[in-house]
Order: sequence, then structure tokens, then C-alpha cells
Amino acid sequence: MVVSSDVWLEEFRENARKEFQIQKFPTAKDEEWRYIDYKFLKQLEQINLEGKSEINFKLETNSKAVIATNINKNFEIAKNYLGKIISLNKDKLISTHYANIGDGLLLFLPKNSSATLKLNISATNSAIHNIIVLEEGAKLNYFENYEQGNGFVVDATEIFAAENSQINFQSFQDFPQDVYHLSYKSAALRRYAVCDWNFGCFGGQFSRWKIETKLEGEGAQSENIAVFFGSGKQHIDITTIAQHIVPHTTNNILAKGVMKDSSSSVFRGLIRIEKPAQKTDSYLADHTLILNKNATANSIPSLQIEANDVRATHGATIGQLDKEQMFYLTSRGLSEKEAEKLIVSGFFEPVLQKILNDEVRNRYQQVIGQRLSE
Amino acid sequence: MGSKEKVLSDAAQKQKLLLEKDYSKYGFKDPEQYVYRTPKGLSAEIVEEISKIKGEPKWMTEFRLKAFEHFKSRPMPVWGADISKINFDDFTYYIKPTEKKAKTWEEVPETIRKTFDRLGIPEAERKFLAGSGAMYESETVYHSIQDKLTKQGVIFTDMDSGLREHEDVVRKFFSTVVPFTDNKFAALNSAVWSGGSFLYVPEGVKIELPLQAYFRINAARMGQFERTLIIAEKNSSVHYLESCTAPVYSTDSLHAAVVEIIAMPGSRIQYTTIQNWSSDVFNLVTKRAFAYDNSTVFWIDCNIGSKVTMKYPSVFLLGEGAKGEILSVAFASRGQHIDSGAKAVHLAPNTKSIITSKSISKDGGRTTYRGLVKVRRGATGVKSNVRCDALILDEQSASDTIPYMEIDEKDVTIQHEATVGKISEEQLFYLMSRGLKENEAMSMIVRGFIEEFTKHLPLDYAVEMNRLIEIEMEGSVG
Repeated sequence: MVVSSDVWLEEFRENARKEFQIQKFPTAKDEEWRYIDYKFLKQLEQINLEGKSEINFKLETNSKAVIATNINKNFEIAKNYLGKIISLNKDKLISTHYANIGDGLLLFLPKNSSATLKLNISATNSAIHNIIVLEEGAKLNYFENYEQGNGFVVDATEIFAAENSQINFQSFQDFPQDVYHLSYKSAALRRYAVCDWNFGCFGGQFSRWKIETKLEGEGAQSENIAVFFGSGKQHIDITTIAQHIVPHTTNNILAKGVMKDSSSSVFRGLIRIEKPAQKTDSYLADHTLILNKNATANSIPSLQIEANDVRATHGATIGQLDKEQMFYLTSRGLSEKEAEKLIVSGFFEPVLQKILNDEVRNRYQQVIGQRLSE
Repeated sequence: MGSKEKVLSDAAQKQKLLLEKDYSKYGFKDPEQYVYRTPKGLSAEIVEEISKIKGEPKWMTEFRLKAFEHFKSRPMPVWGADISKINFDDFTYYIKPTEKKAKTWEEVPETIRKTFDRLGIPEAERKFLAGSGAMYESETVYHSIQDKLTKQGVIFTDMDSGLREHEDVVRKFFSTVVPFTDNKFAALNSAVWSGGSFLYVPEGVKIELPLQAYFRINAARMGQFERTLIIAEKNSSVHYLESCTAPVYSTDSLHAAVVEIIAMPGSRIQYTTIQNWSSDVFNLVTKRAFAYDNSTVFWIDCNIGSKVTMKYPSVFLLGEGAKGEILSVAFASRGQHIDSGAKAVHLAPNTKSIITSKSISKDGGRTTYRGLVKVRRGATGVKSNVRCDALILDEQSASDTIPYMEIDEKDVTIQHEATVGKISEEQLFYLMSRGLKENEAMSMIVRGFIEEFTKHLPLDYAVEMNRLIEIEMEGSVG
């Protein structure tokens, strides 16, 4: 019997709705929420996330890639992947996401093909679910832009990277300062697959990213660069997890951020090396600059290591602008503001250098400059 | 066939040795002959009974009962090491081994004296200590201090005598650093505490040689709950050393101590622990220090023994210019989970903390570093440096690093670094090419790895420490 796409999707949502009823809202006792005033989440009980969203995309490819902006349209493909990496019973927030899915991008890139995809997303109270499937040897250069939004945006992206595939995933978020944004990003990497993440975390009043990379195939590699900037009363929350499941995998996480005004941040990094994952090389670093007295930064860079023949290292720093540098620059006639701007751009420079796309890099620099002058 | 059997039996023999790897020096048992012991399990009646036997003032009895209520209402912690197997009804909470506390070793009952002789305590005291105390089961059986220190007004006695003889001082500071509401095990300790050290160093007195306390659990299914309070007045200094051992039983014992330290302005306190409980002891300890202006608190915390340890020595930097240093060493072997670490809470400007953690896991052991650096708004000019290194010696073993940094102030410098890995093959190769056997080379590298720790110990302890590491490393190769 052929199940129609509507019926299938409705069943999926129904399961998620049940899960939403079972799961509990986080409280201060939940490790992940201990620094956060989580009460606003209760609004999710009333708000319907089936709101408006608009996804504009531009795809350049040398192959017959399959693309759709609604899961229903290619549900034969979608149903093999939906919820397979980010499971619907993970927590209450993801279950509300799944209970309302529909809009979202599905990209299927065939063997050895390559593509560049640019997305512009505007969202109002919506649950956007993106699925990216890379067949063996496929290469994708991916850009997403979240700049217009309203209310709650709970988005998720699942990336399936087959052998030897490569993805360069660039995500830029500069929502208006009243948006609540919860973002789940997860990739499963097979043998020799490469996933390079790049996050620009700038907007929203509460913005939370949970980025998980599962290194499931030998030789898989991942790099994750996150740049964040908090001002006003913003809260920025970044969790990034590298899970090494098999031997010979490599990971490198680097987060750099600046906290201004009364903003607050939580950076959680975790390197998890499973027992079989010998010969792993994993690195995690986060550096935060605090510009104002009322700003707060929390950092929890953790390691869980079950294998012995590995290299796992992390480093973290939290501090203010270097006083000597400030003194030097102001003594050369720069105003405090100008000096601050110069030092902060110097602080971000090494990470921005790693962003190969000029357009993206310029955008980051522009936003950072603008935020500093505000 | 014959030779194969021999190989097998050799392997079995080695396995057996490994399983029974119990330091003969520490592992012996005395017959359980006691003056008094409470029935197994815990109730308000037993708490009251303990207080009554000790002839305590009413406020202490009430304090114990309140703490007991809190203990009952508090759920077991669900984070950290697995302690769900603890059955509180299974332990004996108070055992009085002897009628009175001795001032000379000759007065200590013979069996107990022999115990401490074998552990080398009287000898150590003669050689390099300014004073020492020995606790056996629930009571301190011996305490002495150099006369010249007594003349300077130093008080070094067991906690029970401290309460009897210096009630005003004890009442002023007791439970001010670690309230019983702090955690479930601090509540348990507050309810049933017995023994431990009371150390008071008057203004300006600098004690050159270390003072030592030795803790021994002998009975099976025993709970030891010592309580230590150290007060160093202005510009004084002291080094306090503690060691713990117990024989191995097949049943679990529980050790839940509370240590409170108060470092007044300009003082310096060093507190060194060498914890070598047998592999069936749950070791759940709360250690915290208040450091006032320009004082220094230095915790050295070395955990080799126990089945499970959960212990995070803390310094609350309350006065400007105070400094906290914590050096944590963990060695987890078969069946052990050592979940230890450090906390530095910066509440005043220009305070400094340095945390160094070195951990080694082997034969399926697990080490966890769990730490906190917190800076409250207004605590400007804070500097904190955390460094964690973990060595995992084989495929069965594991290690975690969980550092928390909570920073509410901009004028700070906070650094954290951590590495996890195995012994470098190049180092091993180098040493073996110089004629060392593999296990000798490994043991040498491990000793080098924790040298930062041993160099802070008095010589005899450093030697003992290296010997312990060698015992631990025996049979770790091949």
C-alpha cells in the first residue's frame, strides 16, 4: 500500500506531539540550562510553531541534485533521513520542533558531484528542518543566512556525509534582538568524510546552538569555528560536541567571542572519545573577551576519554582587553573606542582568516564593527 | 604441555597478585575489640547517643539532630561517580576503640600502638614532625605536640577535646565554612562526626615543621566521619599533613569527612593529604577554606586509594590579595573511580588562584577532574590559571576533564589548559635504550609526571609517595 506523503508526515508529527507531552521543560537542575533563565521556554506551550517561513535558495551544481523546500515534496527521500541523526525524543524542545516540521530544505547530492548552495531564511514562529545528503565523493559549499525573524525559531539540520564527501557549512545568524532562536545542527561522517562548520552567532535575544559532529568512519575529519558577539541583554549559548566513535579521526574546535554591555554567554565544548576510537586527535579551544563590567561569560570545555592512544587537548581563556595594548594605542592618539575596535578586530582576525569565502568574512567584520560602535 | 601449564599458572599467579594488590604494609587487620560501638545503621537515637557518650553541650546535640534531618531529606547526588550502591543502613557509625586519648605512645593500647608502629607513625613523629595525632575508627587515640608550640599558644588536639576545652572558639567557627546544608555528605558528617583535628595557630606564630594526623579504619563496614577545623590567625603559618589507610575487606566502608580552614589576613596554611584508603572505601569528603586579605591557602590533595572518591578542595578568596593554590593528584587503578578536582571562588579584588591537576588511570580505572573557577562581579584584577594533565596507561582505562568557568567580571585573566594522552613512546624508547626495563621506565615517567607534587612534600613522604607509585605500577606492563 502506498502511504501518501501527508499521512506519513502527519504520523511523524503526531509521534513528536506525544513526545512533547511526555518530556519536561528544562529547569535550573538540568546541566545544560543551569546558567539560563529558562522560563521563557514555557511560551512554547502556547505558541504554534507552524508559523511562516520563507526560504530562498540559489543552487549551482554540475549534477542532478534533488532539492526541495518542503519535506513533503520529496518525502520518499526525506523519510529515510528525517530524525535519523537528531532523534525526536532527545528533549522537549526538539520534540516541539518535530511536531511542527514541514518547511525546510532537502538537498540530495549524487555521487562525485559538487554544488554551491546559498540560502536566505526568514522565519516567524517556525520549525525549519534541513536535510543534507551527500553521496560518496560529493562536495558541497553551503551558506545559510538567518537575518529576518520573529518570535521563536527552532531549526534543525541533519547532515549525512558518505565516504569521501566534503561539506563546508557556513551559518550566519543576525536576527533582530527580540527573537528566541534554538538551533540544532548535527552531522554524521563516514570514512574520510570532511565537515567544516563555521558559525557566526550574532543576533536574537536568546540564541542557542547545539552542534554535534559524529565521526563514525575512519579518517573522518571535522573543524568547527564559531564566532560570537553579545551585546545589550543578549544571551548566547553554544554547545559543541565532537564524538569520536572509530579510530583515526580528527577534530578541531575553536570558538571566539566578545561580550559587551549586560550580555551573557555559555560555551560548552565536549570531546568524547569512545573506547574503540584509538589514534584520535582532537582539539578544543574557546576564548572570550569581556568588554563591560556587567557582562558574563561561562565556559565549560570538557573531555571524556575512554581510549588511551589519543591526543585530546583543550584550552580556554576569559579576560578583558589587554591594558598595555590599550595604553599603547591611546598614547598614539587613538580614542578609547577606536583602540577597543582595533584590539577586538585583532582578537577575531586569526579565526576570520580561516573563513575562505570573502563575502562571508566581510559580513562578519562588518557586523562586529557595527556592534562595537553601537 | 608441562611448560604451557606453567606459563598459565604463572599468568594466573600474576593475576592473583594483581587482584590482591594490597600493600602488605597497610593491609593488615587487627581483631575488632572495642570499648563501645553503636548498632548498625543510623537513626536520631544513634545521633543523640553519640553526642551523649561524648558529653557534648546541648547546642552541639541540637546541631547534630538538625543536620541529621537535613541528611535524610536530601537526595543522593546523581552527578559524578557512581555511589548509588551505598546502603546507609549497612554501616556502623560510631566505634570507640579505647577509653582515653594518650599523650605518649606507651599509653596507647598495645594492639593499636602496634598498628601505628607498623605504619611508621611514631618514628615519623620523632624524625620530622612538630606534632601528630592518630585516629583509629571513630576516636583519636593519640595526640601530641612539641612543648615549645604549646607555650606559644598553639592548640593541636582532636576535635572532641577541642570542643570540650575551647568551646568558645569552636562554637564561633564550627560549620561556618561548610554548613551542613552544603551537601548530603556534609550533613551526614555534621550529624555523626567524631574525631579529627582542631588546630589553632595564634597571631604571628610560624610553625616550621609539619603537624600530622593519621587516620585508620580497621573494622569492616565502618563509617569514619572525622571533622577538622584549622584556624590560622594573622600572619601565622602552618603545614598540616594527613594520611589515611585501611585494610581490604570484601565489604564497603564509608569515609565522609568535613574539613574547614580559616586563613586570617596575612597567614599561610598548607594542607597536604595522602589518601590511600583500601579499594573498598567510599571516600566522600568536603574540604573548604576561607582565605582573608593577603593570606595563602595551599591544598595538596593526593588520592591513590579508595573505591570511589568525590572530593573537590575549595578556596573562597574573601579578602583582597588572597591566594589559593590547589594541587590535585589522582591515581585510579582497577575498579576505582577518582572524581576529584578543585574550586576557586573569587569574591574579592586582586585575588589569585592556581589549580594543577595530574591524573593517571590504569587497569580499568577512571579519573575525573571536576573543577570550578568563579569570579563574582566586583572582584577585579583576578588571575586564575588551571592546568589539567591526564595520563591513560592502557586501553581499559579512562579519564574525564570537566572544568567550569563562571566569570561575572571583565577585569580578570582566566586561563585553562588540559591534555589527555598516553605515555610518550619516544620517552619510553629513550629510557629502555639506556637499559631500563619497560615497567621501570614507565614508573620513572609517571614519577616525573607528578614531580610537581612530590617536591612539595617533606622528604620522607616524597620517598614514600614514590614507593607507592612503584607498587601501583608493578605489573602494569606485559
